[in-house]
Amino acid sequence: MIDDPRQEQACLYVLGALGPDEDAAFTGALGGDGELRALVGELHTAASVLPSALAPVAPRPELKRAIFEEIERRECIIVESHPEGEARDTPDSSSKLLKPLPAVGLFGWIGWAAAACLVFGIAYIYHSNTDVEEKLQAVQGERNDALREKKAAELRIKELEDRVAALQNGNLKGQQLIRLGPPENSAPVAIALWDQQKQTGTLLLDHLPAPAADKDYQLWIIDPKQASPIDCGVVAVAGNGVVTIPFSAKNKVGSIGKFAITLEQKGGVPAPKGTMVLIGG
Amino acid sequence: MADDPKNPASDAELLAAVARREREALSALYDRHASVLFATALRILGERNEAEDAVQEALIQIWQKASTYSGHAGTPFAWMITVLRNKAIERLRVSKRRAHLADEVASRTETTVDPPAANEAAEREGGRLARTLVEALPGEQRQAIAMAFFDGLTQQEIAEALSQPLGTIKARIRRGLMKLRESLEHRV
Repeated sequence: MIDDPRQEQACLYVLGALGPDEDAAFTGALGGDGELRALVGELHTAASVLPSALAPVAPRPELKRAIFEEIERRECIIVESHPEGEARDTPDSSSKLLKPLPAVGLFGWIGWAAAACLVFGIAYIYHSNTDVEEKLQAVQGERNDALREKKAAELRIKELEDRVAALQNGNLKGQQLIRLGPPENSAPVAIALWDQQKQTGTLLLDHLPAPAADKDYQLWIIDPKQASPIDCGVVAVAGNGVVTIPFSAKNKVGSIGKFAITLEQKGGVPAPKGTMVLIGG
Repeated sequence: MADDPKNPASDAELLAAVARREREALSALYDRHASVLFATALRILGERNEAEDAVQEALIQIWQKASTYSGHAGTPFAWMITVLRNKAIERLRVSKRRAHLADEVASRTETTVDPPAANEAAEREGGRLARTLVEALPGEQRQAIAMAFFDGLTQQEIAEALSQPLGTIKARIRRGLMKLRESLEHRV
C-alpha cells in the first residue's frame, strides 16, 4: 500500500514538478518498488488526459514530411518492399512473436550497399566496365544469401510451432506461445509455451549449442510488475538438435513481459548477470 | 485505443511495430495523434514554429526509443505525450519566456481548457471525455496541475507564483491527479 506522501511524490514526479535532487531520488526508488512503478504508470495515463482535453490543432502537412526526411537522413533507412509471395509475419491470437530487430538493419545496409553499387554499375555497364558488374553480382549474391537464411529461420520456427501444437494435441487455448530470438541474427531459436493458470511451461530449443563446461544456460521470465526477472532454472542442452524442456518459475508470475535465456556460471545464479542469448515477448 | 477506421491497429500494436522499425506504423501513429501532440506543444511553447520543432524532435525520439517503452510509462499514448512534453519543456526552459512565466501563469484562472482553435470541428469524442474529466476537477487543483504539466513549473515555483504553502500545492496536485486516475479506472 502506497501512503499519501509517496503518492504525492509520484504525482509530482509524473508532472515533472519535483526539484532535480528529489527527482533523482524518486527515480532511484522506482527501481526497487514494483507497486510504485505501477502507480506511476497509471498516473502517466491519467496525466495524458490533460493534452487530450485541449482542442486539437493540426500542424502544417510539411511537418510530417520533414520528420520522415530527418529520420531517413539520420539512419539511411531503405524502406524495403516485400516481393509478392514472400510471407510477412502476422501475429495470431494465441502467440507473441518477436522479430530479431538488428537483422532488418543489417539487411538495410546490404541493400544500401547494393543500391550504391547498382548506380555505379549502370554507368560502368554503359561504358562496358566488367569489374563493377562483378562486384554488383557479389553484393546481390550476399543479399540473396541473407534472404534465404531468413526464410530458413522462418521455416524452422514454423516447424517448432507445429511440434508445440502436436505436444498439446492442437489445443493451445489458455496458453501463451512466445517466440524467442537472439539479439543478433544468429542460428538459435526457441519457443516458450506458458500456462498462466498452472504456472508451468514448455521450452523448445533449436540449434542452441552446448555451453562451456563451467557454464549453464538459464531461463528467466520478465514480469513487468516485478522488480527482478523470475528464475525458471537452468536449461540443459545436449547438442544442436531440437530439445523440449518443461519448466516452472521459482516465484509466481503475474504476467509475461518477456522470456530470456542467459549464459551464466555452472549451476545458475539468483539474478541474471551473464550474456543475453535469446529474448522474446 | 484504435478509433481510426483507416487503421484498426491499437496504439500498442503500432508502437511495437515502430520498435520493429516499420515506418508505416510511425506514420499511422503520427496521423492519429499529431493534432493532440501539436496542440500540447503549442500550449506549452505558445509559438507554432517552436511547437513544430518540438513535435519533430519528439517523433524522432519515439522512433529511436520505441523499443524501450514499457507499461511503467502508462499507455503508449501517455508515453508519447511524455516524450513530447519533455521536448517542449526543454525548449521552454531555454527560452526567454521562462523568466516571466511564473508571473504570467499566476494570473490565469482557466489554464487547462483553451478556447477552441482552428480545428474545433475535428474534436473527437475522446477529447470531449477528457475535457469533462478535467473540468470536473476543482479549479485550484486544475490550475496547479496545469502549471506543472503545461508550464513546466516545479512545486516550489507553483507555490511561490500562487503565494500558497508548499504543502497546499502538493496536496492539490495529488488530489487532482489521483482523481483523474480514479475517473479513468471507473470508465475502463
